[in-house]
Amino acid sequence: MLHGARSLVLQTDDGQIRETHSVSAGLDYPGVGPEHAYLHETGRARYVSRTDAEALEGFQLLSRTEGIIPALEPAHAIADLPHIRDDHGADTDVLVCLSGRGDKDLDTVMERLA
Amino acid sequence: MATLTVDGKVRLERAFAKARAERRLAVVVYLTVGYPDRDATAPLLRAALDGGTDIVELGVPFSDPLADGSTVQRASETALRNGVTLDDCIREGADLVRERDAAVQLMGYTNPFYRRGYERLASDLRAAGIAGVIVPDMPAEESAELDRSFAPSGLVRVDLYAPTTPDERLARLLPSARGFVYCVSLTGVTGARDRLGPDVGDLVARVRRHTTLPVAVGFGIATPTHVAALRGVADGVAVGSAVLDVIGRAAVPDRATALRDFVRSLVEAGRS
Repeated sequence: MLHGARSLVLQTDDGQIRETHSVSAGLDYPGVGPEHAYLHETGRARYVSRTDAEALEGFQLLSRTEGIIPALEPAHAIADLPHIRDDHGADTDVLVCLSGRGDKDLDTVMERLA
Repeated sequence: MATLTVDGKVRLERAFAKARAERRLAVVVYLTVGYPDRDATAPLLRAALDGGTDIVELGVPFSDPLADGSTVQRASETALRNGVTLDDCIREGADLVRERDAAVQLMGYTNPFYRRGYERLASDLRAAGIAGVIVPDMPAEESAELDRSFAPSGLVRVDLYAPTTPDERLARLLPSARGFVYCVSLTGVTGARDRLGPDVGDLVARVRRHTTLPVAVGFGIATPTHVAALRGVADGVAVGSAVLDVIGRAAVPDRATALRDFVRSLVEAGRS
């Protein structure tokens, strides 16, 4: 129960909210939106995690191959594509929702890749 | 262990009745458990009672204390670094009830209580003789689950009302209030202020139209002058950040004495 909402939160056994870290500001939060929590609970969606370094690779991969600069949040999804390919085969069609554009993150990325 | 013959809520009522009989404001003292260190809490609580505290509010430290200003935030962080848990808070309360027959409440945030489970929380509080809880981040509209677990044990959940609370809301919520009513003196977070909020008298008057319960005023109450200004307005005052400031300012060996004397000055200031 955090910020007035009951949802999945990163917490200790004693109910203290845990510190978070992510290279993307949008993911640097200890709570999960109620819709995602519901999709998780009902098994409609499977959630995976990718590291900052993997997200930065995903960011560069899409920028180089498609000329589309993804925000750091969906760059995590790009970073998961090789794993999906390994699990499901290279012929599998995959739809990625690019939830935001990366020009907002250029400062962060330039700092990290410098 | 002695059998508890009086429940926590009765201790609260008795505390307000005693202050009224002595023609003074009841003094509610808030202390964050485990601040400044774990071993300090027990002697500080006893010093507060020695100074004349009528009701003890034990602050359960929380990682995201959104109703608290910088003083309580820092105390909360210190306490968490010291490894303080909800169990520690309940234990401090139980000891105080057993030794001093004190009126004790917990002030804490929803998630640690929710995580424990409201049923288990109720039985733990009941066993400790603690009267109930104040939960600043739990709106009354969302409290049914906790209230259901508390009701059979006679435990109370005290709501906070602010100068911005509309009459319609007071009329709807106050009839089910138990123990006492906690009025927030200002629109903002906890923390010592130079002067009282200007609307507090009006708020207390509006509250009294809907309840005969004792009314305590808290948030921003920092000095005997503030307390004196509330004579004839409220039935009690709640002081937290100023208490932590007194403890934080005192040299380690003088902390308990400084706190006792400060509380005594608040009690005296509330006499009519």
